[in-house]
Amino acid sequence: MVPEGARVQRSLGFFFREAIVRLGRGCNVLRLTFERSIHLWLLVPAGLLFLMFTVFPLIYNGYISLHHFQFIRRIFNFVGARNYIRLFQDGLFLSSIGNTLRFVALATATEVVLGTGLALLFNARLRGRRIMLPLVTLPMMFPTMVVCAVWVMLYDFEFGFLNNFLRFLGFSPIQWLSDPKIAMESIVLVDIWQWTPFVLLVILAGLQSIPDYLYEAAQLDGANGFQMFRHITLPLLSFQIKLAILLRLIDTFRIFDKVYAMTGGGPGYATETISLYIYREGFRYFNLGYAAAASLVMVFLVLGISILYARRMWKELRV
Amino acid sequence: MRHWILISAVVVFLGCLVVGAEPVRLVFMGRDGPYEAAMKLAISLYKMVKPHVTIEYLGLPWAGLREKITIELVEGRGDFDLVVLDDPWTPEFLPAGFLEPLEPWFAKTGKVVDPDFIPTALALGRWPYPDGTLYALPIVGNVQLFAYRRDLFEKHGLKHPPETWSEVLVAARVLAEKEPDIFPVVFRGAKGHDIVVSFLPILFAYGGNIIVNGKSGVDSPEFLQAFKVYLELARYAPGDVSVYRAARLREVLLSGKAAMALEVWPAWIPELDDPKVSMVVHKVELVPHPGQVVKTAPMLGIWLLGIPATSKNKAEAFDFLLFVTSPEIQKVMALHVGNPPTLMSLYKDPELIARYRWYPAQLEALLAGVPRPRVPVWSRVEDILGGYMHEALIGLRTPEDAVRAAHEAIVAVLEEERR
Repeated sequence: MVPEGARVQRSLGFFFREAIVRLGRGCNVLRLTFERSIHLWLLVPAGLLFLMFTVFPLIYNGYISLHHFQFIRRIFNFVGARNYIRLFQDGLFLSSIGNTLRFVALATATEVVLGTGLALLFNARLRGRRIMLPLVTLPMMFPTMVVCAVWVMLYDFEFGFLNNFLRFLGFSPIQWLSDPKIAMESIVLVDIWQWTPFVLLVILAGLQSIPDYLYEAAQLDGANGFQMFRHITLPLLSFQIKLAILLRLIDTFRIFDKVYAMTGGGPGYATETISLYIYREGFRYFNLGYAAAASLVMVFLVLGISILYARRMWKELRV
Repeated sequence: MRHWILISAVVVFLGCLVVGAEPVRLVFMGRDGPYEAAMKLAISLYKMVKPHVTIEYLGLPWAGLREKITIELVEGRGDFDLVVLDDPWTPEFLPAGFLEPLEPWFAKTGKVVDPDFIPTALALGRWPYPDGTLYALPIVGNVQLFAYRRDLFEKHGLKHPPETWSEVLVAARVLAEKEPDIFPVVFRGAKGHDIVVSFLPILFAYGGNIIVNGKSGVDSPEFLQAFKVYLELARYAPGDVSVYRAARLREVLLSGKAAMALEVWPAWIPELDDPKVSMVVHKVELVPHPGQVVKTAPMLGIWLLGIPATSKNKAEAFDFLLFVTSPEIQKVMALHVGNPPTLMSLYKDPELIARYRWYPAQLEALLAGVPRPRVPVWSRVEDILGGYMHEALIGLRTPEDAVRAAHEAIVAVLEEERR
């Protein structure tokens, strides 16, 4: 017969041993789980910041957009979708969407075509390339307000360099910023001057990653320059080109500073863009509910276009 | 030199009174550019009088100042002790009680509001306008003036100064024919604020206004008539007048390329007679605007200084407010930085008149000046009107169409405001 005390002692010992083993196993499972999902844990700080600074403001913006929120007079009344209805009844808002899309299309297309051309030129190992490349990329390093001030002087109808040059050549001067037919194109030109170098750098990086042996093999097969460009360069550059389009698309969609500094949305409403419209409603009239609705429309427009485009890009990349 | 001796005496006397006082830090939010130079000059002089008070000045451009002031006043954090306001902002801020009423402070300190303040400018710091509670004191006596080249008018036998807008039109026609290298007329034609402000003296002279008894006055015959005169004058202006803002107008005027400027603000051009920057020394006359149906009526553009109701240093802020609006300091600011005073006597001061010969005319304009409509939605009204007027200026709409569209949009804004 085992004494009662010893039996209790043994069962206690068994219990503790079992507990330690199970704890060890549990820890092991935890450790393994942690190790397997370490990549997710590392994302937690960034995720929290994303929630705090992107998701929460977006949700809050959506909440505000359902209210008549007059900041100065401290009015905050629920109005449902009325702000959105008013937005789509406002001709100025609709024309500002049209102007923005026009700016996006013109600027992005020209910058990508020009940037690709310049990148091909710089990739051709020309003499003086090392000096020229930093010079060509200078415009994107200047503050936009300085760029605008310089271009406003260049565009001056009476005394500007461009019109003086046209007069010298015997042409009539152009109302660069005061003619509603070309004011938007004049601003697009400034954006092209400033941001084509960015596209150039993205494409040049892509070009330099294409191995030389592909061209050598093509040359051996008797391919000419255009054929090599069409069948080697262009397909291998397509990701960089699409990336440049996506980045410029998102950036040009937000166009505000150049329009604000150069035309203020004029002449008339010819260069009024969505950002300028939102700025005016939000920071000049302090109609924050209405401005929030307009900004949400803009976010969904950009997001819609970007997601569709990016999904296609990634799909092609996977293939 | 005399004013410096006077200032030094005041400084030494007051300085003796405050030796040993507790240090205080005031934060002052105001405009940038020449206004900042004037305020910083006053702050440096105040530092001599009250060495224990440190004033930090935050100078901002017009739009930035409005945004920051709005956020500061609505949030009521009490971070600022003094704020500068453009006069059209007061119908938004004063009824909401964002600023400290000044009369109790005058009573507490045994002082009175200087009767020398230009009445039209002082009234803009009161709510209800023009004789309610006093919330802010005027510190910049800006008013529009009409500018013309006396030498050109005399050369071509034109009557000057023109007394009516019809005479201005006649002069523009003659000058266009006889002085092909000079623009007969220049004005600020940029969309929004600029075009509206440059048009107001003509509108007022024709007896019209943008808001009449709380309703849109844009559909009145006076408005249309005045607008047609404005567009007629634009035919004699530079081809790109529709992008002209203050800086461009100043440049063209000082370079001698313009014969008449529909509106000039004296604070822009203190160096009109300075040969280092001006090609038209003593050739340009600044006078009150021509009249038409009614006598001259320029637009006031007064900057006011007030104390936020949430300031933690109201007594010190009030003391500085009295200091900066005192005749001695206003005179120094006018002489050294060209800041237009807000006291009537300074416009009659021989030393100031010797420096700025247009001061008597400026006082006349200030006394007759009309403020922009006292409605809280002024910025929206101004943007609407400025947009449609601009479309007419560049030929996208007829004047009738622009006026009709602007009227409808303004009516909608005013109705929304009432709801």
